[in-house]
Amino acid sequence: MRKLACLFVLLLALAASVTAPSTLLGQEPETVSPVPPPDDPRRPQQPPGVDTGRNPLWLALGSPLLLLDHIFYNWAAGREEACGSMAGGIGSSTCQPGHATFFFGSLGSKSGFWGLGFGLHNNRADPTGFKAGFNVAATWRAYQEYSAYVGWNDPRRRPFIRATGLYDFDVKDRFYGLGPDSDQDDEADYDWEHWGGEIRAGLPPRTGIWGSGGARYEKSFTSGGWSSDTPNITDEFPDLPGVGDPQQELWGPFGEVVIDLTDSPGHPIAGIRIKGRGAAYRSVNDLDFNWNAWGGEVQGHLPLGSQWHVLSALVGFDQVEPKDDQDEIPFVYLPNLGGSTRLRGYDTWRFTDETAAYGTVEYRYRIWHENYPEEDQASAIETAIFYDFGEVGEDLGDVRDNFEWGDKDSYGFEFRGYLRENFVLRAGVARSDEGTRFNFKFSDVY
Amino acid sequence: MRGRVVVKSWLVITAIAGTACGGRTVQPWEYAPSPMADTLPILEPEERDVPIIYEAAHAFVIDQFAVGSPGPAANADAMDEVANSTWFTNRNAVDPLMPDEVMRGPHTGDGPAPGPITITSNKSEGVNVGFFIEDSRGVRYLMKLDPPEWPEMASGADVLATNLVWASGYHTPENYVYFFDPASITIEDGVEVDAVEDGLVVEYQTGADEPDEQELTPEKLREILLERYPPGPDGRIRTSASKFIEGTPKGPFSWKGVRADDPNDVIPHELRREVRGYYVIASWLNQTDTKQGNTHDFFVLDPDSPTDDEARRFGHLRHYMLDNGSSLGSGGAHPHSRRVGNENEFDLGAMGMRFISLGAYERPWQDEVPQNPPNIGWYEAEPFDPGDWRPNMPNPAFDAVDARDGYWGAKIVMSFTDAQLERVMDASRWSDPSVRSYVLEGLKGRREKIGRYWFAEVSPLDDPRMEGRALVFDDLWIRHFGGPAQYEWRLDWDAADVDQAGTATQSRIEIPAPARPVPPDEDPDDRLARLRVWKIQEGGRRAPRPATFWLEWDAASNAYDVVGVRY
Repeated sequence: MRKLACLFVLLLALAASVTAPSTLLGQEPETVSPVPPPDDPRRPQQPPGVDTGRNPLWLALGSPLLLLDHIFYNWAAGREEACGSMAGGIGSSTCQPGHATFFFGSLGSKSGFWGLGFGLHNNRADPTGFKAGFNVAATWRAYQEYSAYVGWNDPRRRPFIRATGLYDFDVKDRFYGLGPDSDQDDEADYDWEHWGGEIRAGLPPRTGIWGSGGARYEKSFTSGGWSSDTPNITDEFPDLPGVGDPQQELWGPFGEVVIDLTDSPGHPIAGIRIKGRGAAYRSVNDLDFNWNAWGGEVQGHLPLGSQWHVLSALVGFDQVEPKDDQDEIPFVYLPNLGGSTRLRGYDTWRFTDETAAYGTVEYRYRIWHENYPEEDQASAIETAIFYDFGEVGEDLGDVRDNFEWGDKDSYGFEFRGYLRENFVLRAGVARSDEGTRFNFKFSDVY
Repeated sequence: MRGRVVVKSWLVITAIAGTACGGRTVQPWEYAPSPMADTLPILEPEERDVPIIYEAAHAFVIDQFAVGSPGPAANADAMDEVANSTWFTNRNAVDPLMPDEVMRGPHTGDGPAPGPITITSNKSEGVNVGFFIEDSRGVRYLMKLDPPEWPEMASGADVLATNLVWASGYHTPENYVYFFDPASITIEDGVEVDAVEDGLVVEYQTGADEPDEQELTPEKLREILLERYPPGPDGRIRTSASKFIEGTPKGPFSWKGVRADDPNDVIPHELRREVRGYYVIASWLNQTDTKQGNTHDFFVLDPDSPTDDEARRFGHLRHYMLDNGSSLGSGGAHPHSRRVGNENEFDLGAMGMRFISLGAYERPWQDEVPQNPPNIGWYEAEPFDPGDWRPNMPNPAFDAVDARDGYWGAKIVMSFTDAQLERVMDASRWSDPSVRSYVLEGLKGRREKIGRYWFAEVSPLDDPRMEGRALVFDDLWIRHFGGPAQYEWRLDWDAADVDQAGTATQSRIEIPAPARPVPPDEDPDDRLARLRVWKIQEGGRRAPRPATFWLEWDAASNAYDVVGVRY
């Protein structure tokens, strides 16, 4: 027992020697930290009522948002680490070789589909002007497209030549029959698959004359749709050229010329633009699908006091004609109205015939533009209130006879985002006597 | 359906919980800041980084959904002023500088030493081309070239505005207009330059090892620079040179919240008077690029700290306003248009108004007017609304500015005399006299508008003091703009049971002695006499806010003492 007591005392002494202040043991004192603690009274004091802490309720409920914010921060920091923030022409090229772009989708109350695409483009500055890229796009259960290109120079900036390959597969497209009196109740669906390639050369948009031309080769095939809710085109329109026919193999030249007297080809505020286009399609596999297509368009823009308010008007037409009497034109190549560009309140391909004429009057007003010295090149956002009208027929005379104000028209508004390189994002809503459509599209301004 | 309700409820409750709640006015007796208390040592913090995309997304979009105001500035002292700190030093408004001192600003020398320079690396941020250099004495600078289309624009604006910001009281770098000789440069490895050749961009780099890179030699760099930046008659190219700041860079400070790793940083920045009040100085100079990246914290080592990077170094942070290249008429890379300063770069409010009104809503800057004088960009007093000036990016501290902050900032701006402004123009070294006079007119015109606007938002009765039994003050409106002295006042004093009102036609108000002894009371709100004085403005209207003075009665000396003021 005594031994145990001695051992206990010894252990206590040992423990004390370990934990006792060093001064008691005759050692040098530890250095006092030169950095006062955070709550040192000599530090700045918080005024009353000031709290730097987060509301605990916010911390608890907002944690998912804070996590998202943290992820966003890290992404942004990583990007800036790789690319620099901005660097006036120096050191920023590491992020230029490729960039993702969004493609277009179309949102509609009845026939449209939504979707998303992306592209990877070689935008790196290259002394040879070489360009290459590809796009992939798809909509939900309806559409997919793959394209790739190689060429020289950017078509938006310099004279260019480009070879493009394309594969496109549309399912569940709608067709309503030919002519101005086609009925919405006659809706039929079909699938369209086509692929091929083209070589195109041209001049970039500019004030004066510009345009492009080239030749294409493509294969096209249509078949009945998959939908069990919609009648099949092979049942509804069995005699339509292109329906039930073998795959068409086509080639032909095409061209487009623009006389551009606007102040800014990508974002016109004032002036007139006249556009003419033409193409020839010839069957390669000895089918009777041979035809010519042409069209034209005139548009004018008038600023109302300033560039912030512009009145624009456009009229145009597209026409096709079989090469010979026995020739036919597959229905998917016929001019049509409806969709996100022409007669926007109607479904895509709502009215189809050998000739389609269309027009738009709109009031555009800018709600934002970039602070950029050349204002005509500055990025901008506009709103447009528009009124569309149009008609189809066998030829222009037929269109004129069929046309009646208020018969086929739509109205609505659009937001348009312009980027510096003549690139326009359009998003809007249009209404017609057949419903309301939401449109979302990348295209020219008009 | 139920899920949507849950999500919506969560969003609403979260939004409410995260909403800034309006603070209360800190009374004069509640807070007595100690000058320079925030220099007490702290351990060296990590460098902070704020990606511009992240900041812009917050400023332009996410923060726009915030509701509520953070409340009035919290760090004003008893006299509604700001104590000296690592953020701010009272300069011209308190102790007027000589015109030469304003012209020199923070300069401790004459800029880069004459002789050859060594380019050590590229400038990697900002819109203008630039290099880090060492002069012949080994002193380091950031050298920025003016945009070739607008020579002298950014460099002149940067130096002039920086010197005025410094004279206002803020920490700034030493920025100089600098002319360098492209024939006497050497380049260290890793420097890159993009040159446009035959319409295509070609990369040049010292030590090039990629197939698409060309070797950058001093001769090639000289050729590229001379092609893009025309030299003066003496063969030198004009730039701005910003001397490296003392201390270790620790990243930008935020315009909101505190820096968690700095124990001296206890007041949210959006509640700091000097940070909010910078709005007025920035509006005067049209310094619209107030992103966080144009601020910086520098860690100043304590004399007793170890200097080894690996050791636990200690010191304190000093807070700087950097890069005024986007001020006056300069947008850095291109001139300011009339829009800059009159609308955010992406102003959701203005855009919404234009959309709803079908374009009928127009901001004043949208008028078509003749363009600016060459090389300098738009910088005028019209259209300029001191209360509605807007930086490129929404700024949470500026959004919180109230009449008291505006008055504080306007006192600084109005403290600059014509002689000081005329002298500081020399710092810009603009060669065109018409540019000098254009900017000088802009400075004077905007100064006047700032004074008229912010002095009308309060009762601008400055420097209160007792003369005998009378409270005397300086009416800053009369000092700067003239007009009659007319005031209404009200004295209420619970402890002495006094409640009187009156008018005055002089900037002095006689205060009666208390009729009975003032009982000692622990609550200053009762113990102190409160005198509210309203300036009667032109047209006979009361100012929107009174100047409120708190007076302490000293029975022993039978006199009052001014112990606090709130505007």
